Amino acid sequence: MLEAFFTPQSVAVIGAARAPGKLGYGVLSNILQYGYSGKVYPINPKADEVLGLKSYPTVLDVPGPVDMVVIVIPNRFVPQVMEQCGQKGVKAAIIISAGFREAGMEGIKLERQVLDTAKKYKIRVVGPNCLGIISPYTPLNASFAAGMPPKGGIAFMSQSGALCTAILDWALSEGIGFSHFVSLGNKADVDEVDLLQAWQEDENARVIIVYMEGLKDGQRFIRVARQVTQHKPVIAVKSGNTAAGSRAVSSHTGTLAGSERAYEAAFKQTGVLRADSIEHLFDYSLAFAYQPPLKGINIAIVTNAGGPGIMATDALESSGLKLAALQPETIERLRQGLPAAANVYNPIDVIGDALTDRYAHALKAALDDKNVDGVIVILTPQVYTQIEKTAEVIGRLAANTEKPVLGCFMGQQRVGPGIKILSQYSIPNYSFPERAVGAFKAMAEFWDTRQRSAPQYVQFQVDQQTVRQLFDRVRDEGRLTLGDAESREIMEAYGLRIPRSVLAKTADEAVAAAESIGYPVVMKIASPDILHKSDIGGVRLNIRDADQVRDSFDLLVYRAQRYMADARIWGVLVQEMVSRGKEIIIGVNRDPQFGPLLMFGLGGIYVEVLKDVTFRIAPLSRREASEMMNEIRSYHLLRGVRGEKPADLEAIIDTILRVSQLVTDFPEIVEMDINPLTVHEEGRGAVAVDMRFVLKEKESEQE
Amino acid sequence: MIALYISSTAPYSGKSALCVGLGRRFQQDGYAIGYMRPVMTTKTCIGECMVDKEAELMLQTLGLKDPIGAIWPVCFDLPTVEAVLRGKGEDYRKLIKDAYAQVSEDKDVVLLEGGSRCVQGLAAGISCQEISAFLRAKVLVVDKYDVATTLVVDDLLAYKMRLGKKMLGAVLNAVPKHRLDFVQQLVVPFLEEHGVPVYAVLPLDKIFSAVTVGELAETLQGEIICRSDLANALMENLMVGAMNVDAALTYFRRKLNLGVITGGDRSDIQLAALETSTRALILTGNMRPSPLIISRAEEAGVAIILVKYDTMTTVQRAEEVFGKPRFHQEKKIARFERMLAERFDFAKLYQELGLQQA
Repeated sequence: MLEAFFTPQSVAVIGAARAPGKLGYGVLSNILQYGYSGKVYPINPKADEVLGLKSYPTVLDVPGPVDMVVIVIPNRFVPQVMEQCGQKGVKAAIIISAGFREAGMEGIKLERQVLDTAKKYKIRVVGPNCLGIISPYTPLNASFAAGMPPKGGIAFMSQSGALCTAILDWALSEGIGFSHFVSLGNKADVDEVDLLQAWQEDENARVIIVYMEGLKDGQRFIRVARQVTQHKPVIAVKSGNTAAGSRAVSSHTGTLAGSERAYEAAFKQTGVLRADSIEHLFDYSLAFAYQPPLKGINIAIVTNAGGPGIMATDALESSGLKLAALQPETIERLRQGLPAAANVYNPIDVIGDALTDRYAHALKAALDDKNVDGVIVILTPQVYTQIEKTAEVIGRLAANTEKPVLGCFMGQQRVGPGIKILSQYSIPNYSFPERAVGAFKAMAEFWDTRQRSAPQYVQFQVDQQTVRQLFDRVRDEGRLTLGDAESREIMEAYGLRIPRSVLAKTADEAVAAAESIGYPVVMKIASPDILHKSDIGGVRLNIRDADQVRDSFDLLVYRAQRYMADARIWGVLVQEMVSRGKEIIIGVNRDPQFGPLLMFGLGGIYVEVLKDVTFRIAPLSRREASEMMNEIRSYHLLRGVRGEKPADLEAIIDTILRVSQLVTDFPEIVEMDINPLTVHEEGRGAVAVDMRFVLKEKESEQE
Repeated sequence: MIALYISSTAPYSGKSALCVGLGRRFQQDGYAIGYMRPVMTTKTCIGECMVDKEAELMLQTLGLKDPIGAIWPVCFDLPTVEAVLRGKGEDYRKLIKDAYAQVSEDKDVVLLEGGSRCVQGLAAGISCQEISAFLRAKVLVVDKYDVATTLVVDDLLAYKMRLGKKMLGAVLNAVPKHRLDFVQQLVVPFLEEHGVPVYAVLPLDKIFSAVTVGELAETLQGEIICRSDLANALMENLMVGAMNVDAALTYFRRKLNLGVITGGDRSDIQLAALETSTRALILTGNMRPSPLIISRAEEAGVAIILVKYDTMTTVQRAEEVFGKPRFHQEKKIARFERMLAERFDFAKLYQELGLQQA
């Protein structure tokens, strides 16, 4: 769909300039210099010839078809040029020119105009305000970047153009190869999700890496990324993850950055690997791009120094990977080939005076062991160490195995030539053991993602009709919040258990209600305006007789009126007192980017003090719901400690999934929570004791 | 000629609204109507322009062509009050009678919008009681339901004591929905038993206390820098955004038709407001928002008012307008007319006044 950007038959550079130093010159010369074999047309009304090619006044004057244009002219001329491109039948446009959305009101209007024209003629647009696109396999360097990276397995996209140039420069000096290199700029049209989709099937792209500040459509990202990660790893750096950072993003891009928690959840749910820094981004991507996939979590370490071996071991353990337990035959084989002082158990220490032969023996033994999924080879430059020869041997062994091997030649000056040889054999080198472990960890996560089956969504039989009517009625009345009785109606419609309760308008009614329910009862003020009832003393528990019911009725109404004189008070809710159990909170908050963000945690102090909660974006699969439960630190309390029986975990999952279905069915729910959901022992179910809803206003009420 | 005097138990109870609502209904039924406000009080009289504008709007709304001076014969500003206190006042009765003669010419019904309290104008001999006597007017009293007190009937009974038979009855206005049953079942029968027929029980509707974007901009001496075409959009709630963005979203989501006050540099809060039921962003400190925000607001149909004051001052001034809503906006008038049609006992009123219903 986007192939016109990467493998066009012909390219026109609109704004091709004759003067070196101008962007229009740089772009054209990059296209010519780096071996593009298609047709190239400079467009410049003031020149007959640019860089030895015949120049045309407009794209309409070009004799043959034009697949792609690169636009490098002042912003105000771009709309008109897009119109011409449309008439010419151009399929793709890279707009390098700046002065659009990022530059103020006029720019915003221009960008909208350009986009409208593009849509009319079905032209896809990358940019504006970007560096361009580099496709090393075509080869085509349609950018003003200084240099051309070699071919390789990394497909890179970035919202920041400046970051692109810095990364390109670094990649050139390290000889790192790319399959695609795209600067997205303002993302007027083509965005991260489009590229993910385009690169999913592209064999040259072995790993996709993304620098992003925000997304246009979070739900679409989740849908697409989930598919792509079944085929190849996607690694993302997301900036703006602090309050100040996110504010910077919102003023920089004009979109309300989704909350950090929503991004975390989205990455988890899609299997997109998150890198905390650009350094990690490349640490991970090199391993993916150059080494075969890791198919397990058992890692062997071969080292000529004890200290770094132990550091690597610590890093493995704390990241959730395992130090591989070597088979007895392997240990025996190592014992025979290594000196007595060597450590033949993992981490395999070939000792400081090791020459190449010991490394060869140890690495070969480790790779042959079926308990080993991947190997880190640590080399410290000691007096007798044969750095280059060893690198050569590691390279040859790694080339003949299906298991990934990562180098950790520590140092810089002396090990430099060795690292160079490793890279000739496509073995990425990490200057410290922790970084190599980090790369393996990322590979293990990807392996785990690929093991996952497609998410299974449960559809419960529910009564949508009732909820639809109720919401319509509430919003017609000009309300956004729901009263208790209404909330309870919704819970029932979605098959969630709630305590028996009766709304009483007078103390007498309350007594009658309590008697029909049976003592003890709970009484709560019933008002749509009071959301946090317990905060104002609007809830009384364990009421045991008629006198207490009367007293409580008066007290609750009095408190409510004192708290908020104009609150609508419907009366008092008399409720069955739910027997004790584990208190859970399930909340939903609609994230501006991703939609319904579901929160799960143990109620009370666990939520408020320990912040022991976890998040997912709805709709949730069954596995995701159970992951949520497993993820919280207090999960063991649910499983039962000190002889306690476990809580009804199935009922929790069921509740999470029903809530997920409810907020997916009704996008107008912007917030809701069930707090607490009282969960009884296994097999005894769960009861939603209290809940609240906030709706979004009807669209038609807006101007 | 029928004179109908509309009084109230407190300021901002809905007198103007009732004058417009009844006036338009009379017109629909083919009667020629006149309008007059015999006494202006000092409070609303500050600045000639304010008085004129109110009068002008009233004439416009009712489609009348009287000179403004005639419909507003007496104005109790400070000099007038001083003169009265020194015993040197004019013959206010005559002023009013003369104006009435002019306004009532060729009219079937004249609506007299009275003072906001029963006793207003007593010092000059032109209180509700006196005017209704010498103009032979019947009196309808608007009572705005006060949630803070449950003794809703006292003021109306006091009116009845003073006016006796001249009092036609009462209109109970702005009754919260959850008190409607209470009012219908207990208050209305009680009043009727005590000689105060109730012509209508009107439910509270936030739209009547809403303020337009234009009004607020004017009060704040602000500039509408985005969607000035929405100057008539109504805001029902004022909210201040000074928290982190997640909290802001939760906070704004609770209410409808918002005016959100925040700093011009808080782009995150501004975007959060645009996600919710916001009608206008009020940006303080004279800091222009980012163009990206303006363009988003434009698309979302949200006006932006740029204000020079700091947030504190802005909030204070804005609250003043929110306490004193004005009625002359088509949206409010239409809603009020509909409400009267549904809930006002016109049959009884016409019968009492001796008019024929169309």
